[in-house]
Amino acid sequence: MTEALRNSLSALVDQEATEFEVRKTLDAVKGQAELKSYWCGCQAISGTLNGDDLLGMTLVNRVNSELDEVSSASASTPKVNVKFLPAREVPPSRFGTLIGQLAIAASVAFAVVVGVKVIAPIEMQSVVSSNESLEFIKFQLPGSKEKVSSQIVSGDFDGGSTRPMARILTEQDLKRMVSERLSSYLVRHAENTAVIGGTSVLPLARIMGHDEPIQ
Amino acid sequence: MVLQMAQSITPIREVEADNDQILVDRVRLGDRHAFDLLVLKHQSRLLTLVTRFIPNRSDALDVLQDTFVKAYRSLHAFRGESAFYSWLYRIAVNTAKNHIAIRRKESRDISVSDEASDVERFAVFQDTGSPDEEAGADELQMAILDAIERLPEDLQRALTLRELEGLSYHEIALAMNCPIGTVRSRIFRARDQVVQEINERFPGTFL
Repeated sequence: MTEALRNSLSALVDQEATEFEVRKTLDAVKGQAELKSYWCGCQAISGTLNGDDLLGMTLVNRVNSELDEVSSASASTPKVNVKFLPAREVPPSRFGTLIGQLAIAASVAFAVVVGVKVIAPIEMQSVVSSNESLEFIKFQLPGSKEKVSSQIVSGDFDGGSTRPMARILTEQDLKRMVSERLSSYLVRHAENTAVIGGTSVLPLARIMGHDEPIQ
Repeated sequence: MVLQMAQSITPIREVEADNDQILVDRVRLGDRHAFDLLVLKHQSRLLTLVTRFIPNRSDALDVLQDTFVKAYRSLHAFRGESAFYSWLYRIAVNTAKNHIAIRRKESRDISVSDEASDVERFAVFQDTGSPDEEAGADELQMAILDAIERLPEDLQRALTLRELEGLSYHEIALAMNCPIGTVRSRIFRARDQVVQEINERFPGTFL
């Protein structure tokens, strides 16, 4: 117990210590019981001069034991401790996402190829061969619920003829129609993908050469 | 001159509130040693107050113990708007009044059940502590007063101006016409001598 600490403690008794001194002294009191005894002696001098009863450390010990009992009793009481664990976040697998996107893009590309190369020529051939009774050629692209009809004009243009005339759609017209449909399909697909939080495969489909850039 | 001196005087209460607030802040941070210092500082003054309500020393000590335990538990409610002692004072008075009310209720119950309890009840309220304890405290107080009387005059004067008059260091410096540092040193040396003398005469008194 140094003289400087006792000096600071004496100033603290009189409430004249600086804040730094108070902190320093309190830190020292933790490790040195003599300082607390010295504080008690200073308070005894004050109490004697003011005619108060002297108690020493007895009451402090009683208060401390009471507080310790209360704290130990509260510690021994079983507590229902409900702990909410944070929801486990599964980090999105880049590989899985990429595979999924590739699968979607491949299915779209396959549908387009099938639609353009296989279905459309067959239908066109049947249209050309049976040009009497057929009014509509209907086809549906995969994923598209909207039917598209290519109009076969029936009726006479010159007023008197009753023979039906079919305006045959050329392969270029069909390609243009398919391209338009595909564009709308891809747009819808991109929108749907955006809703479910994924990444649009639109650029990939374009790379595969089956779509034109959307304005 | 007097007006100038009065203007330069720092109010003691303001200084005390600041220092107590630091101790209270430390207690709030979980420093029980700081609370020990607060208990040691205010216990004698509060015991004098409580014994006005409850003359029985043992009961007064119980009330005082409850007072400090309540204070510790409700320390978060102390906002520092008043002095810490004023806050403790209110808790002590309320605890003492509650204690008296409980005792009165108990004594009524006893008087109904046992007529012979009047003597005991009277004895409970008149008991002021064991003779040994009182004799020890009186002896200690006498020793402290003797030690103070043996102090050099400048030390004794500085100490009594602080303890009896309640003057701040600044006020004592003005009264004794010396720097504040000298006042602080004199008061410290006075206390140091007294505590050392008491420790020599009564070893382990303050432990």
